[in-house]
Amino acid sequence: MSGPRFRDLFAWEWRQVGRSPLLWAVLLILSASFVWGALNTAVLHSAQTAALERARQADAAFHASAVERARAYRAPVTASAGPVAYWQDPTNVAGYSEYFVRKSALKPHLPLSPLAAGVSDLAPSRLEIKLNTPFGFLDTYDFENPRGLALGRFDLAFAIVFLLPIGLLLLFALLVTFERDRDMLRLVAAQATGPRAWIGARMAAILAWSVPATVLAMIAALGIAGVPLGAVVVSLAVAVLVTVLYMLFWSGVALAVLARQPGAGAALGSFAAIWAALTIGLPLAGSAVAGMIDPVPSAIGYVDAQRRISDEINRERDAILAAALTGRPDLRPFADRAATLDYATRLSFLVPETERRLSQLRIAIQDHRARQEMVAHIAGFAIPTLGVEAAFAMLAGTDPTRQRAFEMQARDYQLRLREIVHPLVQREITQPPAPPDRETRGRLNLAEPLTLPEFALADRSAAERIGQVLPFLFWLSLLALLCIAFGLGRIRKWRVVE
Amino acid sequence: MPVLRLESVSLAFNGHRAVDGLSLRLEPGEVYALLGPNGAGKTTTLNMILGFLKPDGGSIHVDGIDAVADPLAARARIAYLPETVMLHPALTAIENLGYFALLAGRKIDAATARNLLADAGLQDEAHDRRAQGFSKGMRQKVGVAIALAKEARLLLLDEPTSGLDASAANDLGQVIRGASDRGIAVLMATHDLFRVKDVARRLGILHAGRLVDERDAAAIGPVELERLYLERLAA
Amino acid sequence: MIGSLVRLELTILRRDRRAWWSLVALAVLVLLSFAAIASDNARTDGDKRAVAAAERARWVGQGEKDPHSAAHYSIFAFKPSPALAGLDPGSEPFVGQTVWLEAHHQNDMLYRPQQNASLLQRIGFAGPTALITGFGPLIVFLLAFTLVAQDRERGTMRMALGAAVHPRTIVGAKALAVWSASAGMLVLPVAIISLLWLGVGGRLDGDVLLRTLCWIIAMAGYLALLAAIGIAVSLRMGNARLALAGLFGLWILFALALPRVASGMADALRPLPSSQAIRQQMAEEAPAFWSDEQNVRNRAALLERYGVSRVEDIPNPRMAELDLMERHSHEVFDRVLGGFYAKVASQDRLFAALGFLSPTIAAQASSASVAGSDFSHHRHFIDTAERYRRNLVNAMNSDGMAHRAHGTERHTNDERLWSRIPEFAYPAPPLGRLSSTALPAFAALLLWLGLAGLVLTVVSGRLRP
Repeated sequence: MSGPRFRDLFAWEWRQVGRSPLLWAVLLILSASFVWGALNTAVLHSAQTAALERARQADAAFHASAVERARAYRAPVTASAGPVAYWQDPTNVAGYSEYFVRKSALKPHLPLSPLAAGVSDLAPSRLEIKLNTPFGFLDTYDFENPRGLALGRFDLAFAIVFLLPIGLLLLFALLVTFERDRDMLRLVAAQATGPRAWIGARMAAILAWSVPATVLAMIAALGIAGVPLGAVVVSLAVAVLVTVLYMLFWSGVALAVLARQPGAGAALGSFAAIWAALTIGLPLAGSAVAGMIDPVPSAIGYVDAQRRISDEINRERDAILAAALTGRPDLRPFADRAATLDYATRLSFLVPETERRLSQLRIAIQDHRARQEMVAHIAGFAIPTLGVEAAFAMLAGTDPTRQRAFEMQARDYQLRLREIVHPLVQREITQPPAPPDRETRGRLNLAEPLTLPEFALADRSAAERIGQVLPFLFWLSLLALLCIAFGLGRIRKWRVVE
Repeated sequence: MPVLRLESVSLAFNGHRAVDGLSLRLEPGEVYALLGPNGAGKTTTLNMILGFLKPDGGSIHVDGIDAVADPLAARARIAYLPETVMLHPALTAIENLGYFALLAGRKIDAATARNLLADAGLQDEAHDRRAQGFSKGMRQKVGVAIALAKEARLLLLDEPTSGLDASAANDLGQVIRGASDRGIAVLMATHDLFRVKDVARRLGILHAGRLVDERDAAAIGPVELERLYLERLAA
Repeated sequence: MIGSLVRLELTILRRDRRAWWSLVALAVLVLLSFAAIASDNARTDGDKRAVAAAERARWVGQGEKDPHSAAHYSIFAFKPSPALAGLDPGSEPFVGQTVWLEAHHQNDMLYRPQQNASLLQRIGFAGPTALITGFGPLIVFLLAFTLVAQDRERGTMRMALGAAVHPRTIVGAKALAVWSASAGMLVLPVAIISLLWLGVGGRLDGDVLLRTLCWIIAMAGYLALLAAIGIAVSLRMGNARLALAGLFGLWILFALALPRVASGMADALRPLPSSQAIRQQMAEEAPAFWSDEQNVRNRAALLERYGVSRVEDIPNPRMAELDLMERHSHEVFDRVLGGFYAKVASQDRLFAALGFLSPTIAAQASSASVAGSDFSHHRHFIDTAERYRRNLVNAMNSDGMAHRAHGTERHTNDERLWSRIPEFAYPAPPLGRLSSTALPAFAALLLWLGLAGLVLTVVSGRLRP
């Protein structure tokens, strides 16, 4: 006589678990939360996409209005329509550079964005680029209700990372401990089945229902949220794989606890403690330690530095301008005009100098941010909840790395615009000064507002994004395997004697 | 070959010897009642035979298998009926029987299950009812059916008559005799002196983990058994 | 007698390793979180005070210049952290800390502490209130389960009920034990440490004391209602497993799911226009740099206002035009931004009203209001700073308009004018003045407390040995 085959045991458990109302209640609630989460993020992102489109239209309208005015200001000066002030004149290259160059750098959402809100509720997806804003753009943002930001968004990633493990653990805790709590375990143990096969079959049966249901619910939720599933097959498959491995990781954790064959109370108590440690305890401690070791440079200090340096620049203005003109062979003969340059032309020299003086502080802030992101990336390997959130954000294109790349490219874009416009502005220094009384309303040293290049975000390909996730994917597989192996290893004997 | 052989089995918990040099031998079809008060070591002995506890010393063999070294193989030859049989309340009697038989490595069809339940004395109309409302006696009968389904060589009963009414206890006696007739050795751990005397062939009195007396059940009357029992415990 | 019973129940709780250590672990997290947030706020507030003083010195010492240039130079105003932000940072990490009060613009408040937070920093940020409201239910339910459901399972509850004591006394003692253990470990220590911290920092006054007291009452009330719910569920459920599953489900529903769902609902039902739309509207209606065509319209308006027919008859037409546009922009800002902020308040009011769905929502909204860290309080700072900006810019424009200057002529002024502008100071509003958005949450919290107490009374009244 020998014990049962695992396959038979599993088949029986699979049928019985499938009859459990608890299983279907949990899976139904999880599915509903997936749909709500995906829709919630899709709504946010579609509002942001609409805002991007409006910004694009506003830019075009602004340019069209400048073109229209430039044409109108070719008209001769009359008694009722005098010369236009330089800051209102798009035909004055200096005025144009400061008051008519306004472009938007836009970060469009990727098709899989409803998977995770990531930084999309906090970081701007639209940056206003002007030539003379230090370092590209203001530290601005799109307003989201701060109460909601503090609370966190109910997105699909939240449902998968936080709620899915709770649902799964609840199923494990209540379905695997049933015999213990009903005083049946001795009778079960007295048969010819070892505890490993028995617990393993029960948990495998729960997973056999939960995993396909979760995967289907996830795909359905994204489909309902408007994700073009056909266009994101590979990324979606990776997201699904991460989810399944994450479920296996939690199954391993559950197995390690259930190996001791506790009652539901003890099992749920342990699960809740582990869940809380992984979702808030460790991140809170990790964040506090990271903040202590590498404190964030003071934003208030940065404001102070900006003001101080701005004052310095104003005090040294003429000297800086004279040095700048002298330092340029083409402008050296006109160095005596340094003190008479208009505001916008001055800015073309002073803003780079301001940036140079602020650069150390700016670099310190950026380096700190990069270090913190690196810490978070590494912490993701130690804290799988964090790692899965990060992986989802990466696949969704709402990750901080993409945001930083966007901001860096926006800055590069500003520099490109400066390279186009500033030479035109500075060339005017070499021209004879405008006569005090001109014939046309506009200055006309710029025939038409320039057709400047549009910002286009150079995004990483889907394959590259997936490549970024792969190390974590492998790590999560290993972690899941280790947890399951550890859990199985802990099940040595029936614990039916007090 | 004896179905159950215990040689000088000992086990101590925190310095207290729960079982002390216990030796037992059960031949096929033999019904043995291990008598003793609470804490005498009866259930501990059953736990060791089942492999739930590992003895500190001695050996346990079930149907020739070393139960200490290979408890799973030994358990495959043992049917066990705990003091209180608890069943899956959402499953019918037949389903419960199917489940436990499966755990024992056997697949039984519905007809076999019905026969086994009937052999165990469970009335027909209860076969397809969920176990939720079963009385203790009914659950016990399903437990007996589970034991029968296993076709074990050894039946272990832990306080089998505890909480049963006279009729149910009588039914259980019939079942035990039936098992014995089929060559199954039966070891009962109990403190119910009178009920077991009817069914047991041999009686052993366990006190403080030691087997202090052993008699043929047929050779001793109920009054004499009670006197002997009290004497041994007082010694 | 109830005192002795409560002490006994507390002893049982202390001896249950799982329940007690979970409570202790959460209490330690609450204190650590307070320490991290409070020390960070103290450091940042110190920076703000120092830079605000430097700003004042820069303003006064900016030298002789055209008052309109001075209005552009202006100052940065810094928002001090609310006194109770260590207990409940609320919206603080997600709102700007400083604003540039320059002419023509009602600028956004910039430098949100969490603006560039990494994922670890964002997930790992939780204040004491978030921990108590989010994880308190789990711990309180675990304590209630330990004292009631397990007691029932073991049969000891039956024995106790069989004694002469009225069931309500037994249940009341258990509820009091759970409540006093949780409030005593999670709320009181951190509140006392907060008061000491504020005392050492010189920020302790009547309003802070009152706010702290209200915070203690809100949190203790929240834990009390949770204790009542936990015990009632443990008493009513068929067995301990069901009780535990039910309590676990309630925790997930109340503390994890519903607050975020409610926040999403508030966003969906009362959507905010995008910042892009708001900025575009403001730029279109009140541009900082207006067109020549607008100049023509402005000139006509000024001639009418001054009752003259020639621009030359206006003492300082440039400053008069700047003043005209500035005052026009105030109306636009009040209408556009005011409307926008009213919508934010309306979202917050709806969220607070959804506190009737979950006591966690009610507790969170009440706490942030009491701690002065909700958006209403932030708006108060925005409005105060904006009032200061308008007064400053108006004073500069008035000075310019009072002095004749035409064409390229410029009137200038110096420290005598700059120092007449009072230093920017932000007096935090007293408790109660900005509580209207949170009123539904207070009501919901009270209702939950009453309801939970009633349910517990009814359930305990029906208990039979």
